[in-house]
Amino acid sequence: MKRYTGLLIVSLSLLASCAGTKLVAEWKDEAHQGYPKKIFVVGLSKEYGPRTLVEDEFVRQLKTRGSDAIASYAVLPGKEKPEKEAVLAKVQELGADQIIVVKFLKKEAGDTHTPLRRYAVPQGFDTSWDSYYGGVSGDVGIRDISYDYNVLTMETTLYDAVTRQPIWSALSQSTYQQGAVKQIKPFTSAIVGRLAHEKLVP
Amino acid sequence: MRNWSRNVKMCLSGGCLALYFLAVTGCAATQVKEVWKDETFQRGRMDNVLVIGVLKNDTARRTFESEFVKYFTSRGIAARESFRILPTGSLEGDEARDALVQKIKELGINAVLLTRVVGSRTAKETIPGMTITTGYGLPYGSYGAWGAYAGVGYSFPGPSQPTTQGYSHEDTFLVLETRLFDVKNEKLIWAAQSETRLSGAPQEEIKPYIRIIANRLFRDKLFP
Repeated sequence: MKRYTGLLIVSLSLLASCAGTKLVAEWKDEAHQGYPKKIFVVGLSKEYGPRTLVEDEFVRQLKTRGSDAIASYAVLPGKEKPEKEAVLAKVQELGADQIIVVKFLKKEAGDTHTPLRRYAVPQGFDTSWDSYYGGVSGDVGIRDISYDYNVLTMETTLYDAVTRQPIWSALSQSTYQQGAVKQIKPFTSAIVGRLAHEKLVP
Repeated sequence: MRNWSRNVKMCLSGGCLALYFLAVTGCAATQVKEVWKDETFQRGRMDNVLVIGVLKNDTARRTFESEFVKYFTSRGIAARESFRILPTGSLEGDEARDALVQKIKELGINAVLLTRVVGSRTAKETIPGMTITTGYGLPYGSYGAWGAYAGVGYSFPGPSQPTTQGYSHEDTFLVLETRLFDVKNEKLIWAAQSETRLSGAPQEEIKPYIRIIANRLFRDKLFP
């Protein structure tokens, strides 16, 4: 029983360690200072549904931290990817001073496994009294553990709406096993948390 | 006697330095394979550099160019990132060169440092499985202890064989080329080709790559 509990703990910790969002590259304009007054949030995805979810979550989390924010889908007409000029016009109209663009880059599937480990013990020697009498085979081991996962690669860029220059950008990878939609909240937390760490939002 | 002692100390510190250098360069993911320099180039003309990283990902491009600019600035040479004047997508196509030349003239830039990926390769390495066999009668796990020695009488009938499974892994190498141009006559004056082993995300290798290439660039005395 103890052996199976151990195996379960190992499996769970393996799954937990690979899930989540990791920033694989990050850039910041070292000269930039100050917090934004209003952020315009743009999600660039082929599908309208995930775009609205991403934008809403960013708006919610930014507002929680004290930054005013607007979701692009709420103010721009149509379900297509918003045009750059339309975004800039709306940004100016609404008085936003920064734009955050969340771009979906790719989704990859993968699988991982721990290699087969075999603990060999001498024949006739075992871990308990019962098996000592019963067993003649020498090997006690753990079979390999494998599971499938997906990796979403996203790029998030914060722009100055006036100069149109980037202020900060990050390339991130979100690893998950269940639906991608469930990753929106932790992904947004990771990005907004990082922005706060870099003193770009309150 | 004192001289001898001093010589020994110097040899030891020199040896340590050499070992350190060997360890640092031997473990580096980036290896410079080839460097070319125009020997006729007159040092001291270039003091305003435009750094261009032709990379697909914007964050990687920004990181790359900003790191190089930081390096130049720390050495007292004016430098500028290309992403600030040539936005995403502007480095591709026939019109890119004309737009670039126009910007270079406007900003008084006299040197262009351009880095691009020229290829990649993979190398497969196979680590064979291993079996470690202990001899008959040797107690398992407590070799050398008196109790274990005394217990040899009930020693195991066969050898123990802890085994490891053989495995193979593939290394991916990115081939990068950095070239320095003199804007005045549009001539190539320095070029370096290198290979970077990728052990994680390629972006993680940007800073070490720049450190190695920039050191080499300044060692070749191209700037004032």
